[in-house]
Amino acid sequence: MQYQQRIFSDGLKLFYAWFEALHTRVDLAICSKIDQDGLVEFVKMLQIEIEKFELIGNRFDPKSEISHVNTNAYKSDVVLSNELFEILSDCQMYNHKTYGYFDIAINSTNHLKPKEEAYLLDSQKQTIRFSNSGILLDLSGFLKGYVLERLIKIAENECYANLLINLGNSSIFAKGNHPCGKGWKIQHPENNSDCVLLNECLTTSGNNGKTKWPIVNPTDRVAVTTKKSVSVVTKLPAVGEVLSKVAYLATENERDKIFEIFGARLVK
Amino acid sequence: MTNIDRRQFLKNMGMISGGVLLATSPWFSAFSEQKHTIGSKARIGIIGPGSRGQFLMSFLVQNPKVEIVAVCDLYQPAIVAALKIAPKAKVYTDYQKLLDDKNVDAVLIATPLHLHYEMVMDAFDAGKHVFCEKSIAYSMDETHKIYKKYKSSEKVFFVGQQRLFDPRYIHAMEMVHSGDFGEISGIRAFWHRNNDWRREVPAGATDEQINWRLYRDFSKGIMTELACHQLQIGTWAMRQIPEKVMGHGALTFWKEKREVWDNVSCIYVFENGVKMNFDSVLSNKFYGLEEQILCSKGTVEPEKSKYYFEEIPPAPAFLQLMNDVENALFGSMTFAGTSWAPETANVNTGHYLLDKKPESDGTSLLLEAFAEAVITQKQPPLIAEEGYYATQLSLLGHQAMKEERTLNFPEQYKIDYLNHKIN
Ligand SMILES: NC(=O)c1ccc[n+]([C@@H]2O[C@H](COP(=O)([O-])OP(=O)(O)OC[C@H]3O[C@@H](n4cnc5c(N)ncnc54)[C@H](O)[C@@H]3O)[C@@H](O)[C@H]2O)c1
Repeated sequence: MQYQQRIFSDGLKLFYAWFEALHTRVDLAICSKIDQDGLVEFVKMLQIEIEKFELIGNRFDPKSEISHVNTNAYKSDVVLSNELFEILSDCQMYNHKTYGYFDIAINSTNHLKPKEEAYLLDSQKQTIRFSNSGILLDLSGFLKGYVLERLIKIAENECYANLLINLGNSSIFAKGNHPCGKGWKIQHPENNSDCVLLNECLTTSGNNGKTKWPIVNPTDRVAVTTKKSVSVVTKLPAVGEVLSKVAYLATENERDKIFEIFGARLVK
Repeated sequence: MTNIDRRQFLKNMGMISGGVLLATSPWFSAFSEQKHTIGSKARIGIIGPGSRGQFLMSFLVQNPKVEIVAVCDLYQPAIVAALKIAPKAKVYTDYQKLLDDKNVDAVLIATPLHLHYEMVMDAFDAGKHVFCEKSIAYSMDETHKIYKKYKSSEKVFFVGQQRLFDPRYIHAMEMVHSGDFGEISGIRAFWHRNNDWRREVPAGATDEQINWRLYRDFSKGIMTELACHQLQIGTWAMRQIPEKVMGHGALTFWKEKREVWDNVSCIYVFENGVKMNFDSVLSNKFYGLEEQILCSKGTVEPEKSKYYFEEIPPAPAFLQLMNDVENALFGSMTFAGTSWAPETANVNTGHYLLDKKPESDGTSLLLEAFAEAVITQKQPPLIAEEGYYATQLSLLGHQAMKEERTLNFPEQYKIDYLNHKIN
């Protein structure tokens, strides 16, 4: 972790910390009267939380829990940690609520039949079983949002009222106020207009031609080729992750319905 | 630079908010009365309008607040060239006569180094403000006497250290001083060239006259001609004067018809052990010139206008946020977009200090500041002192190499500045 702090005339402190995690960068601006040591400790707590979820959800790490699931869940039931069980339940719920557009099994090699679930969860035993061989679960398009949600919870528990957290520029949560205004002003990448966030998350998904893992349409399994990005504002960061993909793939009609369910807005 | 460009420049440099720029570069206060000085003129006489002198004149004539009222040179072709730039200037061949001219408020001295001392001393005695090209003088003793003279004169004294007004350097220093790069661990300054540094001698002129910088009696070569610019960057960045210097100088390649070294290397040591190296070879130009400021969290190369962080750099939008809050601004942050991935950051190509290439290396602003100071008769803070130590450190380095000894900064030449502050 690297950090800087500025102290302003009225005793207000602006603390900025940044580090690499989740295969991207994390930036945190905290506005408070707490001293620097306290803030460093707080950011360390956040780092520990992020590391925990990296170990659970990074499918490129053969030692991660999701890798264990990917190799074993077709053969037998796999018992899940509380965290992964919750993540996979959430993903299933989002899959249903978005007419299947959000799908963490999109990279599977075995095509599923329509309406067929990629995986079955048993909440009693807290286990998972794949419905088919060739299923591959990939949390890359979800984990950041989910982790960001956890970080916000920690901040709330620790009573931090005004802060901005950036996970890799694509998920930004703004809590409380900028020291000189209401909410936080973020410039929208596509049209340079300002977007004010107040206890909200701005999530951007898209294709800049360089992205390693393109967005794939579950209805036809074709990777999106148009070079554009889509940004959505949601209360919950995980929902932002989900809807930023949906906004890309769904028809306008479907999109508006889904956005309404989640009380989200598209940034235009 | 036109007035509008300059205003834009000052704005870009943060002059509008004042604080940051003036903390790093307090001499910018020279511009604080620029509205009131409209319509006034600094009447300037040029002593030694040779190559540098003419270059400086080309900026001065563009400034509506300057009138070049006189020029003085012993060499007729220099006079002819100077009159092309400032046709109305009165011509002198004896600088004393120029100093007697009551129409001259200030002089700009751009003669060979060995002549600076008596010209500057006489100019102060004649009640003129002085702009002296670097280096200030040929010896440490002369340089010190000039500084004392200036202090007792109540006149303005500028030295031709244009980096003090160069947007790249100013921004670099703002970042270094704000702590963005952590602690300074070392400074590596170098100025390499691959040419003999000779000018062609026209018929009727002597080699000593044209190529004075190659002769021991007139110049201290690389140290007074090049090093003084770069050593000043060290004191500006460190806000300290080094304690001692060691080094070696030699003539290794261009051995014919020259007396000064073409290959030097010095190590200046600061109180905390941090070192500033200065190297110059005149027979290889691959690395060119730079002052690399090596810090615990990053590196700055002001000449290239770049900086590099050791680890992932802070996001510019968050640094901007800190500045905005300092200036009580509710600014918007530009960083949202598709995912940042470390592979795009693996090759540390650094970042540019400025959004666009600066149009000037600081020379024109330095001269504008001088004109402002002459009109207001107010010496901007620290500018003379930065120039003073730039010269003294070059000369001390030269002496250390000549004696092949480590030399401490002599007590008698310390002035009331930075760590030499007299309490
Ligand atoms: N700040 C910079 O980046 C920079 C760059 C180049 C030169 N300089 C400095 O400018 C000064 C001049 O360098 P230059 O390259 O122009 O040299 P130059 O030889 O081209 O010019 C010197 C001029 O002084 C004149 N002169 C000599 N004796 C004189 C006398 N007694 N009275 C009047 N005029 C006299 C010469 O005839 C000549 O025209 C030096 O101190 C040099 O270090 C500074």
